[in-house]
Amino acid sequence: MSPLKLKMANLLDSYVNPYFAQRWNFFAPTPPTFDIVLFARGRYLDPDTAEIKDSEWVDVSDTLIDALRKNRLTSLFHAELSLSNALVHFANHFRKDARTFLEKDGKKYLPAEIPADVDPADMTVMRRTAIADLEITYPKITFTSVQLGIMIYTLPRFSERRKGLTEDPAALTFVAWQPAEWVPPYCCYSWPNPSHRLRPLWREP
Amino acid sequence: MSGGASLRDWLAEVRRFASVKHRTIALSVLRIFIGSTLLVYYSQHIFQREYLWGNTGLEPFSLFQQIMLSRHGFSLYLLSPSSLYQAAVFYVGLVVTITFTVGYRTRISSILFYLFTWSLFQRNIFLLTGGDNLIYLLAFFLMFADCGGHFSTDATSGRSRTQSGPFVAMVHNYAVLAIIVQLSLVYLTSAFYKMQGALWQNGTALYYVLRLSEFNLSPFAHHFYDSETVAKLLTWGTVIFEMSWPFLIWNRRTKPFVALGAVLMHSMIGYFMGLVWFSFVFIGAQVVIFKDSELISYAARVREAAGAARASLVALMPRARVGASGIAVAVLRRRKTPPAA
Repeated sequence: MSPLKLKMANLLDSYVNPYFAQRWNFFAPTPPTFDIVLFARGRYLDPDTAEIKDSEWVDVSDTLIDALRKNRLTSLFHAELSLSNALVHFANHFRKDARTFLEKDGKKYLPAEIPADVDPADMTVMRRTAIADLEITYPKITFTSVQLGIMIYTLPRFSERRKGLTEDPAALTFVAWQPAEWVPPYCCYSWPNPSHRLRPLWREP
Repeated sequence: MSGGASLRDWLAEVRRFASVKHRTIALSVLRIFIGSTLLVYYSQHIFQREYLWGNTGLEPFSLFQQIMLSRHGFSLYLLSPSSLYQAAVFYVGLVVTITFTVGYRTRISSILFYLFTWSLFQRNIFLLTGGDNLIYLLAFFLMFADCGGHFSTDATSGRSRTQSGPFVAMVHNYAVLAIIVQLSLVYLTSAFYKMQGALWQNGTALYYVLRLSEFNLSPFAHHFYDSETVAKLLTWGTVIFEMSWPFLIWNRRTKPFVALGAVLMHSMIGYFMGLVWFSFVFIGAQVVIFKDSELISYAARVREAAGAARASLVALMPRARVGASGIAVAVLRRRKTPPAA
């Protein structure tokens, strides 16, 4: 790039960002071909037995998507949107951080657990959404720490579009336990049967 | 000599054109669409305020500060971390949005609306969609335009001045042009981005979008990709529509079809993908492609059609023997004719 072009680009950038930001690449050039799902569980001190226990895993993503599926005008739309935006940004950041993959025989693998300080901004949103969800699921429990699980499901190719979504994730990783600060739970959503969103625990790493 | 005179005439014509405010009805409708969207956000978020916008919610104040610093951004919410102050800015923003939407002192309320909307959106950038991006861009241009000339308290109370100086009118017209250019930019850049992608080129992109769990909200969505032909037509149709929008809006005959196409496309996005408010804003923005005279003519046609439909309904009612219902009885009384035996 020539110095003039560089100067013009900087000038244009300082004009456009942030007040006239133009982000119109809706699902372009390539729409995502995978689903990212956030799971979480909390750790707490059981007052009856004085033991430290872990809760069941909760599907944080599905809680909010289901609210939207039932009512397109739900006030939880923005809660769902923030989680989705954070997950997509996190996935983009994830690939650039050397701590989030292992290399063996020229292939890249996800480690069983990644540090909690990968992409702190998006991690904060993901963690806080998870804590709010756990607080709603277990209203009588005060969590001391929280662990996130990230599952990536590859969508069936177009030629296999009549197939259902696979139950097995293409990739699965856990985030190291993080302190669970109190988050005001989101409102206006009740589950007829809270147990149906607790999935059986998959094999621990 | 005659060439010079015709140039002078042409310039005079341009001056006359520029010194009259154009598309004031369209901008008033746009004001209502944008204001209503924000009004819904504010009212829905009263019970989620602390979670979505508060210091103990999704984005703690320290993270908000960091993000603002890195973006060189500004927000009224940045001025104090006090919870009371944050709540005050939120509720003042709600009041400002109401005044803007109803068109009360629009000149001032449009400036305040931009300030408070921008500040709110910056408070948690994780919550934004493309529709919100469009809202704050259009709200910026609306500050310079007369968007309270119709359907507003300003108009009913006579505060809105239809006649104004040539400079004010010119600024208004520039704002209108900027809004149209902005919308063209949205559709054109979106189409160009899409054309670069292999999945958009082979016509399967829409399938992948609708298959994502967060956008796969309707049990009918599979009808759009079960058939390869339908999937390809819709994928390519989206790109072609976005590509042609900036060109077809200038023709009197094609622009109603462009607007109808946009309403259809955005309604489908709203229902199938759950992006209701994104779609609402984009549908509302279509109004700026119409001149005031065109909107008046459409409204007259709609009134005419509604009148004809009402008349034919009234004519049918006695024959349908629905006199037992209150409506039919009222209609018959007004017509002062006994019901047919």
